[in-house]
Amino acid sequence: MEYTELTKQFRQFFELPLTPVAVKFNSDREPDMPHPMRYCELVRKAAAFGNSYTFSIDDMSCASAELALGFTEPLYGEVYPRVKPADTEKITVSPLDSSEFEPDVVVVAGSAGKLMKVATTLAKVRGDMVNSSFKGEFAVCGECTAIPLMENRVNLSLLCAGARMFSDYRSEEIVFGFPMETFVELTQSLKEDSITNALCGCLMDDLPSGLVNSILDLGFTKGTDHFTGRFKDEIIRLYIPKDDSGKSSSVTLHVPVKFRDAESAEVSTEIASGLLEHPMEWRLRDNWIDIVLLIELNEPLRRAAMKGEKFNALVNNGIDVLLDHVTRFRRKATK
Amino acid sequence: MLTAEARKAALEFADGYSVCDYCFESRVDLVQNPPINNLTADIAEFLNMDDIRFTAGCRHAKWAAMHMVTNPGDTVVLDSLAHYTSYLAAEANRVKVVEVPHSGYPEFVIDPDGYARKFEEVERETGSPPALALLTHVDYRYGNVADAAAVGKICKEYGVPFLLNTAYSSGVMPVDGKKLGVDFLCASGHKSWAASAPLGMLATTYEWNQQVFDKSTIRGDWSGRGFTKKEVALFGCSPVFGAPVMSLMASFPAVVERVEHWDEEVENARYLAAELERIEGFHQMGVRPTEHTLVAFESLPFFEVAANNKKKGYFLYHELKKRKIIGIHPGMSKSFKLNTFGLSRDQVEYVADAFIEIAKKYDIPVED
Repeated sequence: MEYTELTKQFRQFFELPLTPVAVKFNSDREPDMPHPMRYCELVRKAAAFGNSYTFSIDDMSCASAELALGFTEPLYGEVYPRVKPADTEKITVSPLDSSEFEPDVVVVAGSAGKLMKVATTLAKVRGDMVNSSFKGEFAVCGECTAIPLMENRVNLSLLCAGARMFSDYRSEEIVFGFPMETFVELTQSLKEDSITNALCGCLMDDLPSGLVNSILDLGFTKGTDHFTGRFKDEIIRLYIPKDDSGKSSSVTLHVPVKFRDAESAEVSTEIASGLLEHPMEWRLRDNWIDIVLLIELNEPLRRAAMKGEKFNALVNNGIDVLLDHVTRFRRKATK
Repeated sequence: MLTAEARKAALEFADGYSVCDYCFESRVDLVQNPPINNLTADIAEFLNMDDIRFTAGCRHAKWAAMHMVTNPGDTVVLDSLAHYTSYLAAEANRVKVVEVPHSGYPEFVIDPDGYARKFEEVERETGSPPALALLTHVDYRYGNVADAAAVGKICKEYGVPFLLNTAYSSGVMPVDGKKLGVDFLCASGHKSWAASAPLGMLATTYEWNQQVFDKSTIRGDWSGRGFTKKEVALFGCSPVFGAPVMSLMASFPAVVERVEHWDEEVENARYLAAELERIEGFHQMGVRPTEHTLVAFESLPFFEVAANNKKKGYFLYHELKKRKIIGIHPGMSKSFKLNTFGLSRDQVEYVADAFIEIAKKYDIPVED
């Protein structure tokens, strides 16, 4: 994917006002700085205004960034995070969409709300937590450039005092640094997460997806308000009732039995009364008698849904019980 | 569906401002030539309400009523089968919604007493009754006709203004606003009044009309401009001039006439339901026998056919199209809705036969 397309896709998906910034160490460009600046300032200018810069140590106005970006070795003790060994001669930063080189690192600045979505998506793509190291110092240079480069991992930074004071970062902004490979992997996996497949575009229930999957695995298919499935030549409907406050702790299984006309159905209600006792229920509806089995979960639906095997066993057992009663009812009603 | 007269009118008045040449009162509902002001009065009488305005769709009518009656932070009680635009009208007006539950599978009935329970619940929790109650007279999912009169009575008892959404009722079946105890009634011109889109109506009583159709009081601070005849919630003058309002006018006599035949229409729907239920696994959901022409069916065997058909769920759409029946959403096979309104008995029989023929073609058992 071209950098232009990659950038467009990333910005559109996360609705980011600032462009991701490409960072290349020791590029083949010559320094072109008008005057010394902070590294974090260059990154934000590239993100906000589309400027590109190539700079050497002579163009830097922040000693911390000199260390973090590997222009110099520390004189005393160790410094973390930093690029080491300190063999950096020059660095080019430019908006990713107009990058003419393959970046080592991509730096993304945005509001906490927008970068939260980046984190959520990244966690889904990688199947793991987003582990970050930050201390509010050496932020854009160390936490978001040196760490992704040296440790090949994504890192989040809350920025540092210098960045916020001198480099025009807004109070709500934070910054992510990506190894290039991870940035590409994330962007290529982006697709608009549809919360619903319904034709009307509406979300029609709040059933936990784990529960829906369990029910589908049992052999049902999902409709708008209920599930249906064929079991031993009988079509069974599964419905999840809610109480007045919207809580669910039971499941109902339904088989509507059809009669020639409303009078015939009426006559068979006597059989239904004799045969179907709690938790079985029945309901006369015109020329149909609905036979219903109430399965009490004895706990909130969400909790029950987490106990997959127990839930499946309850429903499977319910299906057997319901089918048995329907068979007996049909036999008696036919007589 | 437009009437033949409405089709002609839509063409003749297709230009955006075609009814505005003789507008001397600065609002579309007051135009005398063509006689839109008479139409306004006639429709109010037809619905047995005191006053009506045209709106840019039923959704606009709901929004407008809510906007003029509630304040941000208030609560609206609505039925849990309400159209999504009822929820969005509340959201746009920054009011909370509290839903009246339905009875669940397979009837999905709204119990009017649920409104009383929710009114009390809202009062307990907020210290005041809800600012508005909204009921969907006929829901779009199962075609159930809600007991609007009972809800109207409860609203009067609790002193809660009552908005009835008649998108699927007024214009096709008799609706008497006063009898139902309605304070606001919204309708869909393009859905049930044989008019072209976008057109809705908001009807109210003289108790509420000044508040709901409140006139503009804003003045330009520099120019001194004012718009004192323009109604705030209707964006001054509802944008329905031209084809929408004139196709409504052209269809109105037919609409008045057709609601007299509602019982026959429902009979046709019941006939279709009975015929389709001869197919194994076909089952009409919602209240039985249906009280409306909109009927929802579940049809698992068609879904099973779709699984092995190279056209997948689209097979049903294509099979029906081959038989010159259109309207079913492409891809639907597990469940679908049919509306028999406006079809002759012969046409309904043709549709029923087509479904039975398709079932037999795919070896789905059909009762004799």
